[in-house]
Amino acid sequence: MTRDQLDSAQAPAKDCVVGVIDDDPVNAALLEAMLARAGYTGLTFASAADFRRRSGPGSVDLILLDWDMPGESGLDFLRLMREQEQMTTPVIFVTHYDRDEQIAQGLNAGADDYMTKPVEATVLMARIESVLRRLNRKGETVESWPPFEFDVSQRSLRIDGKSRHATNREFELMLFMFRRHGRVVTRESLLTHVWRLSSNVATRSIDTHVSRLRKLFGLDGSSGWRLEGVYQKGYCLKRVEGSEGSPDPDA
Amino acid sequence: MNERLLNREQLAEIRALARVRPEFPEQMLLLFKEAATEALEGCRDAWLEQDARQLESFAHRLKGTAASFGASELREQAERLETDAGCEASIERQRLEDIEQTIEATYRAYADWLQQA
Repeated sequence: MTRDQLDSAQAPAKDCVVGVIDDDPVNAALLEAMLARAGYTGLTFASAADFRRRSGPGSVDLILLDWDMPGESGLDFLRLMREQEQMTTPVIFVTHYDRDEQIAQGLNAGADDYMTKPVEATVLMARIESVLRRLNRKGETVESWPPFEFDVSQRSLRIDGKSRHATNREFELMLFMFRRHGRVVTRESLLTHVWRLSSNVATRSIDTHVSRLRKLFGLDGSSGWRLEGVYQKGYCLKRVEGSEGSPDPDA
Repeated sequence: MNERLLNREQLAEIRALARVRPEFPEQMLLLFKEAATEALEGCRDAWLEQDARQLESFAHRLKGTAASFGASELREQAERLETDAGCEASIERQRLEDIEQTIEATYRAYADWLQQA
């Protein structure tokens, strides 16, 4: 994304939620505004504890992490998440620490990239896109979570090898949930990325669609996958334990 | 615009972000005042308690806030304070008063820039 593109207007919404963990409200607001302008959904957290309490690694697609924070430092948080909690969410350090040994320490702790403050918007977006490209969905047009197969370029769905009709919204909603299976997806995130609506719009449409997906596509557990409601948060798509489908390739 | 106090490039960035979020420049001003004042209070408390490590930590925080806001002079003052506290060098109370004045001057300069924008 070029500077001109960034300056001209807000980019179209992207299918990506970025968590900003930074105790400095000025920097957090700056990053969040930069993300919004580039079309990302930014969620800010004042500390690692705040992130754990309000969100958790599964609810964001990438984390921008400050190092120096009161309580648990960004470095300690990252080590813990990588080593003990097996978190694979990509992390970019955004910090004032700029010595070579600190950069090496951050990357060795499991960061996917490292930037020093203050960050420049075009560079930040390029780094984010680079990290997501590296880790992204293998560049395949067909994404498979047996028995479901999504042909993203053709917008077609197969279940157990049989072609099934899905409306655009049903297709997008299922794909969004499968890409995040095992994680809690908030209603706000669904509204922003699937419905392309402001997240503060109240709608029953999500519940109606979820109910249809369960019935029409076996996401009530009968297909080996269950789309569950998570009280006061959103939804979570889970593989049913002991289901007869092929093994989950991402497990 | 006082370039000694405020970084022109950072202001351009804030102005660019205002095209998407018109309220953003004012929001930044309020956040800056609150965060910088809080960090300075932390520095003062640490200075009174002669806790060099805490002083270094709060000075680091102030430096970060200043950098993100584009407050050039404040950033330099906070960085020097952080370095000196890290070396446990003797620090005059007057330096904290100078920093407070720089915060106020930065606030006024930014408010003026907002009005002219």
